[in-house]
Amino acid sequence: MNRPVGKQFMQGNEACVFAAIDAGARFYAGYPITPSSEIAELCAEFLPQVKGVFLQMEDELGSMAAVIGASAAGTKSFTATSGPGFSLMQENLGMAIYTEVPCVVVNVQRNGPSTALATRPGQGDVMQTRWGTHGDHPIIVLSPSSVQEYYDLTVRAFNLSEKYCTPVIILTDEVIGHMKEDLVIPQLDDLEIINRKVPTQSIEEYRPYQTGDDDIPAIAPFGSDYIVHISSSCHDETGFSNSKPQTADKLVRRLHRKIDRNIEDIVQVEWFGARNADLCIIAYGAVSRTAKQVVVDAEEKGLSVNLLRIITHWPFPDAQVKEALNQAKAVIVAEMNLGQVAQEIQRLNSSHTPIYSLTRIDGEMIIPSQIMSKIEEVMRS
Amino acid sequence: MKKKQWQFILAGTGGQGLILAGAVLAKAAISEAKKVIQTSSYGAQSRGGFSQAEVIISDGEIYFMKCDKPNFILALSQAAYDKYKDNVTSECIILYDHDTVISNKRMNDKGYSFNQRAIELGNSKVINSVALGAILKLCPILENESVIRKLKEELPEKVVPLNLEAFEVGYREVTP
Repeated sequence: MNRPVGKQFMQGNEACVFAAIDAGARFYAGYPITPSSEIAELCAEFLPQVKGVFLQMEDELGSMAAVIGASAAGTKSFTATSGPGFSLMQENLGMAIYTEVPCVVVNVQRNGPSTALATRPGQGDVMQTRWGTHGDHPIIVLSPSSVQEYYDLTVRAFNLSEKYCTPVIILTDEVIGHMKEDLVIPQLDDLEIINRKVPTQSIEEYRPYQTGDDDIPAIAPFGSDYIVHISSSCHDETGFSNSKPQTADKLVRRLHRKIDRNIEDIVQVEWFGARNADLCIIAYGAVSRTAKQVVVDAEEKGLSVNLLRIITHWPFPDAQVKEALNQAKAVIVAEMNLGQVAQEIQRLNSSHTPIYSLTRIDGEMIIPSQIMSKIEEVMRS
Repeated sequence: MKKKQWQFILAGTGGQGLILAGAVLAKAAISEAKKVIQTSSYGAQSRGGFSQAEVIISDGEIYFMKCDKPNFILALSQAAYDKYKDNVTSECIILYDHDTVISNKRMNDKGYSFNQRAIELGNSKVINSVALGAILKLCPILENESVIRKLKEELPEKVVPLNLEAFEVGYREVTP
């Protein structure tokens, strides 16, 4: 593969593939679906060139299962899909979380629900990434807003996944997936690449789900000298099923703890515009680009507006959102769904700051004039 | 000082090569060290449905990636023309295909026989290169040479000469 390096002009989905390969991914299993198909196409082309494997699966259930299997065998693995396919991945996504198998799932969102407007953007899967699979579970979800960031966050997704032994979801949308803009691809040596922990115990003493103080297991790959058992049923440190109440309790609490205690490492946001503005827009993904234009336009009109851009959807940036709620006189949440994140912000609103939810679900982007009209309306009231 | 930004919409029918034309325009602008974003919209089918490329070229940072205030629209189908004719400012240039857009022209819109001219050149597929020539004539914000260089890079070698001829025809025959 001729690895691009330096300044490039490419599509978001294309940047994702180069980033995944740079991060060390050598296995992709998927079922192509608009608007994520370019990821499958390019993996089919490039992965074999780096001694990797591309598998076109029969459906998304199989795709997710294959990704778990490949990663359990020690290969960094990923898949990409959109809403309908992401729905089918939920069961096995839960298995990957519960069995602590690192992997990356890219969801290039389109308008939903169901098949809906297949070629148009949406942001309706934010809550699905949080609660799509059943049971109490933690999840890490990252949301890029440019082609550069799509590259950067794909590398980061693999790193977080390996570091915390958990699936990481890249939640993007049709606009970011398909738009082309410039980005700089660093030299490989300049990239920080994190690989999962390796066991240090003797083969006799080894227990794959035994953890130290960091709550993170060192699960040996299938095929090594260590004996590893992975079960989607409740399991103890040996990996074999164990249905004692205290085992079930201990496992799920540890899964949450390993993420919760590392919030500062995981959660990222971007502040744009004056930090102490009167009005704060909260947005993410493609819509945050609209919001940035509005912050610039507002400044020219003498209006005091800033943006809090959510980069890490889950775990939710509670502290940063609370800061916005405490600082601003009003908050506008702009999103291409019916207020999924606005509700989450309401949960944190102990300061009773007025929160205005600006929504759009017709498959079209929220445009700057829409947010600007809302700002002018809010400022009048 | 506010940086100048140009928003181009190239709209027509799937199969006319408009997304490729958008890519050529975008890459030519990148080669002149400008900031560029290219987006596209398309229907479920790849040929015959509505298709458009949007390209924003700017001297400064581009935040919003869609063309909300287009400066230039190429309309190579009636549907493309109808989509925009009532939604743009009077300063926006609309260049339409005389052969397929037959109704409701705005006063200052410019028509040209894109489809017919491409067929006369020997291949209806060069309609996108004719259009690129016309765009450069009406909006001379890039060097012709930058666009020609990118056409050579992006197209299969055997179709380059005809496309360059088509570019020249569009540039020569469409006048402001």
